[in-house]
Amino acid sequence: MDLLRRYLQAVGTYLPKSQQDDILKELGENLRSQMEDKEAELGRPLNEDEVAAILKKHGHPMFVAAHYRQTRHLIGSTLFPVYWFVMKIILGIVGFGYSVSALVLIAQGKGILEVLGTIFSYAGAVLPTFAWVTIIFAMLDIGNNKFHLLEKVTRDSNDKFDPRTLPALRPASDSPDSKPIPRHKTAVELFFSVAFLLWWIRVSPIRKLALFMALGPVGLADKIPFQLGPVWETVYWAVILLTLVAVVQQIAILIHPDRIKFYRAMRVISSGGSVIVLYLLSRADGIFMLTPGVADAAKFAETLRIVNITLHYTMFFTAIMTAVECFKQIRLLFRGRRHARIAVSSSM
Amino acid sequence: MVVLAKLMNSDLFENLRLELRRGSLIIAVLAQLREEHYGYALRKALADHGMEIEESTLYPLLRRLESQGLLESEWREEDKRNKRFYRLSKDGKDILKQLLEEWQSMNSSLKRIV
Repeated sequence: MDLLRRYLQAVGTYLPKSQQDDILKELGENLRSQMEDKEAELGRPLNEDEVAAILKKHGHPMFVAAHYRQTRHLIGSTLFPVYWFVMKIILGIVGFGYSVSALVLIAQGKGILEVLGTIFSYAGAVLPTFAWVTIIFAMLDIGNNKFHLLEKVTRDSNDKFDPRTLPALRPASDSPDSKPIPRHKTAVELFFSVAFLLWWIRVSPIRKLALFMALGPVGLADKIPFQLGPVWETVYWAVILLTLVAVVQQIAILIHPDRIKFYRAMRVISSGGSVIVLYLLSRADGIFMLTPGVADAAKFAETLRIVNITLHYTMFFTAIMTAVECFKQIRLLFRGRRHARIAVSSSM
Repeated sequence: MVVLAKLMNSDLFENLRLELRRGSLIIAVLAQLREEHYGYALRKALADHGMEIEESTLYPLLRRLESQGLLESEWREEDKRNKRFYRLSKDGKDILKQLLEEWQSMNSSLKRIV
């Protein structure tokens, strides 16, 4: 019976201390009775393999002990919806805080590494936030299991509940074939729009950014032979205006994610404006030009020519794709209106 | 794909079967404990009536029902060994009566539905 004692010892390591002796005594007796029955059937004592087979069929000690524990979940089904709701709110608040910090750094003209460091710090904050909220709710659940705290609250809430006090119906989406825009998507878009706007209005960083995007790390060097062409001054205010349109659209959609028609109308305006900006850039004589007074201009002229041609074609094709997107949104906008007219006439 | 679908259906059936059995097991255990039994003997008695139940399910269930006041237990010597014998408490008898009425009512309704 050495194997049986070892099995009981193993089960005991996973049991609550206060009940260990009692449970093991009872479990041991039941298993011995089972083994005696088997011995009576065989007419001889069991060998080690046969004892092992009975214990194996009974189950792994950890899982056997788990059945004796009353609470099987960290947060029960009553509290879980509240827990998840609170978790989303708190992670959203923490994310909002980090976003504002990043935007402040951008407005101050801090380097991209510092900005990215702040953004990625959010990932480091998610785990402790998740852990604390989970711990608090797990403690609430333990308290509920022991003292039935929530049952009284639930009972009182059910008694006081009056369906007539429920909020009014939310207006249906104004486009019958579209779902509301997810808020988290709009929040991310809004962050990037504001970040870009703050960045754009600071002239020297945006020149650096444009040079970096065109020329790579070389573009960040202090003395480079290229500078932005005059077309950038032409589009500077247009880009600010278009970004402001996008920010207004995103704020409105964040508040009313079911305003699909408004979303599409704003997308038509912003993509239409973007087509114009991209077309102007693609038609410009030089998106980049040689810095006046640069030594050995002939050496850089060919590189500049290739960079400008590449950018011209890139801008041109991007303008085409943006125009296609614009037409798509116009089509969806008019399709939505046609459906609305059909719905009105069929209801009359 | 067909094999995967069959596997998923088999898992689904197993989960639903366990849910179906869960409530019935409690009635079976309470009803059987109208006579006194210890754990292993109770399992054998249920199995003899066609209600197979794993030890890892039954023994914790007995402790839970006792903690809920539906069973009483005592350690007694039998065949030179100490065993824990369970039987229905007074509350357990009342609850069993109500559960049986509920079960019979559900059975009648189900028979009409199926």
